[in-house]
Amino acid sequence: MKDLKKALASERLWFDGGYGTLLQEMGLPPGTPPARMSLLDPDAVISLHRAYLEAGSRILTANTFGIDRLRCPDYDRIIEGALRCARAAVGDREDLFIALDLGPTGRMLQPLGDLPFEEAVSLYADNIRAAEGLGADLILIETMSDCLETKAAVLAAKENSALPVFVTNAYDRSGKLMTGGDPLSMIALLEGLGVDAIGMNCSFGPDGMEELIGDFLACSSLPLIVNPNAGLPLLREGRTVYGIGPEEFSDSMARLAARGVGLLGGCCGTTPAHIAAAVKKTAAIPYTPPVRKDITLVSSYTHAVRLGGSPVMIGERINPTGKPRLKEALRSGDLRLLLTEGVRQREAGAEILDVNVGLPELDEAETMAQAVLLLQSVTDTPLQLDSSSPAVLERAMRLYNGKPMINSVSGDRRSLAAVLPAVRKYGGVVVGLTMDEEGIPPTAEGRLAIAERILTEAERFGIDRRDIVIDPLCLALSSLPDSAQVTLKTLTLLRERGIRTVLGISNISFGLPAREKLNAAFFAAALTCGLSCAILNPFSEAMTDVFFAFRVLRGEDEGCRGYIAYTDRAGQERLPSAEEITLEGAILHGLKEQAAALTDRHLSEEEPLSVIDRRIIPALEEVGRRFEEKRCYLPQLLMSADAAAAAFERVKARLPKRTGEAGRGMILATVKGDLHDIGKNIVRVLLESYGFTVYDLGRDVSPDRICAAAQQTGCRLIGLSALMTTTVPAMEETIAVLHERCPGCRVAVGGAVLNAECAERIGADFYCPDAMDTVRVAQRFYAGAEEA
Amino acid sequence: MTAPLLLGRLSREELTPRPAELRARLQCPPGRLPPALLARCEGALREALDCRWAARRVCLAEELPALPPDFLAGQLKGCRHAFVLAVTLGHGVDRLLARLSLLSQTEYLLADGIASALAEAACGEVDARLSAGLSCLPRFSPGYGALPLSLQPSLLSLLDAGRQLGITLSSSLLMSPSKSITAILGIRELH
Repeated sequence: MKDLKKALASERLWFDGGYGTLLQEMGLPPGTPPARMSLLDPDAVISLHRAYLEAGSRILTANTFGIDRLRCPDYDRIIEGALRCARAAVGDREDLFIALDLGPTGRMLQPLGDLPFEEAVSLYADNIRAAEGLGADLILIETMSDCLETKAAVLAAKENSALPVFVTNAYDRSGKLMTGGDPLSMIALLEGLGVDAIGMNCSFGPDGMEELIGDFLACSSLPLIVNPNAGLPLLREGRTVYGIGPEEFSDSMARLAARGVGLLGGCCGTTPAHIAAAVKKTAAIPYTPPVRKDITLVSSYTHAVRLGGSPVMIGERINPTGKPRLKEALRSGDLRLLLTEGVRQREAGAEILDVNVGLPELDEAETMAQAVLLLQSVTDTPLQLDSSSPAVLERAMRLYNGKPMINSVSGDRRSLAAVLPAVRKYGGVVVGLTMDEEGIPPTAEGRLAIAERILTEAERFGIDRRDIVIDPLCLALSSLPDSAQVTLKTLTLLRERGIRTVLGISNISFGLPAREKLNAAFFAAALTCGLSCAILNPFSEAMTDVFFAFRVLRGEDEGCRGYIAYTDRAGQERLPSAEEITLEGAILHGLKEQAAALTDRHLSEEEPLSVIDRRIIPALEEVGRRFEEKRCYLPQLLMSADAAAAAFERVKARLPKRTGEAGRGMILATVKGDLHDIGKNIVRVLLESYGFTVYDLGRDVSPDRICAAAQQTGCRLIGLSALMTTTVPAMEETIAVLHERCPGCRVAVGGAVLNAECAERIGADFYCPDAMDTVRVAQRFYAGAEEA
Repeated sequence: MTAPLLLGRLSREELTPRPAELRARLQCPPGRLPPALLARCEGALREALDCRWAARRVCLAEELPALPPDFLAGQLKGCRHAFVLAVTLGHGVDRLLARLSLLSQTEYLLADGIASALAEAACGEVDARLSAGLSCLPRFSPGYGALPLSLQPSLLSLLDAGRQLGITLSSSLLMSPSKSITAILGIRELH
């Protein structure tokens, strides 16, 4: 019986090397995927496998790289052929292993590209199912250059197979993946997902990998894989060659083996000679199995944040509790405020953002999923998913790009059983609250006992205790005089046991005046007791003062740079401009902040409706006229609209909710297949600045979704945008579907490739050459509707 | 025999958009816009970009048999060889644009315009390097004129652009990173 995991724990294993170039030399036609060779000339593939086995390779990568259902309709036949070749070479040897080889899909995942995450998972899943029962001993996911795609592949492997999973990523010389991830972020993600070995392949030679291996050796607990190219591609006599020969290659590989890399092999340009030389040179180097590292990592798609060293600030602002504006925005499905809060907290120093969108009347799972996707589009700060619903947490964990923090579980066994299985599957760092079905213990020892129980349970579910962060909780001092002391003592006890901690600071002052003063002092005391991370308001200067000062005092701020940058930033707070400018002028010149501030001033002495009718609308009309007369340009129009929208925002806060407005709206979408959205977004801003309600469905939108939106909102005016000639047919189809299924709907179209004639030909009701024109169409549409 | 793949990177300093290009892409004379705002957009872009290029000299008949005949007879008249090239500003720029698209439509419009001008500048720079010492025709990109977008997959695969530059195609043949350009540069035969 083959036992790869046992072999991994006890000896160094060699992968094989490159195949593509060698198969071409053996007659693979140019332009044909190397994977096809298993069908075209299986003997060639088998002989190359055998050459690698003779060189000393113990793991053969089956010739299955770079194919899937979308690229090769006969992918299953190819996979079957490839594994047949590998089995023929391996025979019945128990000490040799076959890897099912999976690579990138060649497509970019949403939101940067158009491939949906679950579609990527299903592409990989199909390959894995096609290989079932055909003799693969492990799944190798390699040359991955995107964090989210790597996660999709690993999930597919875990959901469709019990085989060990190895993952290697392709970094560039600066140590980053094509989409920005660094080694630490991949270590966090992949160890969280429970893979069996990780490392690097392709990109450059073994010398480059020697430079990057340090982070892996220091921070990963898994067996490490290094499969480099034979150097960078060079041009010699008009041919692409790889510069590093077997001798130089094996010297470098020997150094990597001596440093503790247990799985070695080659990628592009390496040959059986490279592997043979390296196997020989490393034979005498003793094998050192990997050691568990007691490191807690939370990550995004670019970087990881380490908990347990220097304290970490978690921003608490994305939470509707006590924030009427955010509540209102969430209820109306508008996530823009939430995104701004995210970006501003990051700027204020938050390294992780807590995300809570729980409102009783809201579909929390859907809102949370949207919030996570959009937040990850505007910031690379790792997120802390915060919900009392295990289902909400699980859905967000699945699509989160990285290894999230999860808030929270308690010592109650039901809570643990509901949340921990998903954490085991997707990876994450979990906040464990020191409370259970009996409540919060009054003593530090009582809270410690619950903490220990949470850790033990987590281990029982297969989660390493380093991924649990304990919240010792703090109760209001006003009702419990020794509350702070109990919490601080619990923190001390937890730190003595090497357990990471987190604390929501502000509870302590509940019911007392001048809360920030108490919060700040308590925060400083908690930090002194070894608090790992704090959930707080990054806009509270009292708190951030303590945070940045503490880091520098503890000697954790090299050259006091963080502190200096912090104080610089505080001094930079922009004062409102002293310049005398009217609200109308602010809108005309596109000065957003001033427009908002001046609106507030007018509102203190003027009726809200009068501010709209007498100031905002006339200014907007003026800009619109200038644009139509070509006296101002598109960016200027847009800036004015932005400023007017900011002014509107302020007025709206004072207005009773307008009821008749619901009908005055427009649905906007960029049609299926088109990813351009600038034009559509400009139209949105302009419509909003004129007070229309806009239902923006985004880009690459199917006719079905537009119909559904029309039916759901009751909105009968629809705007479609397309920028490419190739997506005009999609626009035509959408219009036809809308006219058929939503009688009474009118469709306006715009976009660089259209003109009035083309718009008429594809059945549009209105053609809008520019954004201003769309506003006019909407005005006429609703004026007509009122008359009728 | 296929000619070697030429690969390179351009630093931020090597990318200088032409003023006319910038004006066209911004849809506005830059001087009419607040300088601080423009500087912020351009600074963020230059910070985010990672400009790489790939090029290969190809034999048109053998390696690009799918070229439309009217394009061969027209824009590539008299050429047997051409350079195929691709440049990209990288995924960092797409992330920045996606971020701005959610935060500020004005900055999104401006940054997108500047980014297009920077990509065009990068393409021009690579074009100049390739055509140095040769007599080359003006470059053409798929999706414009007689050169169909459907040529995109074969151009990218000639350049191994997926692995070398991180360029992938959507199902509607749009490139990701979005600020990427592919082009064909005909080489005049010297007699």
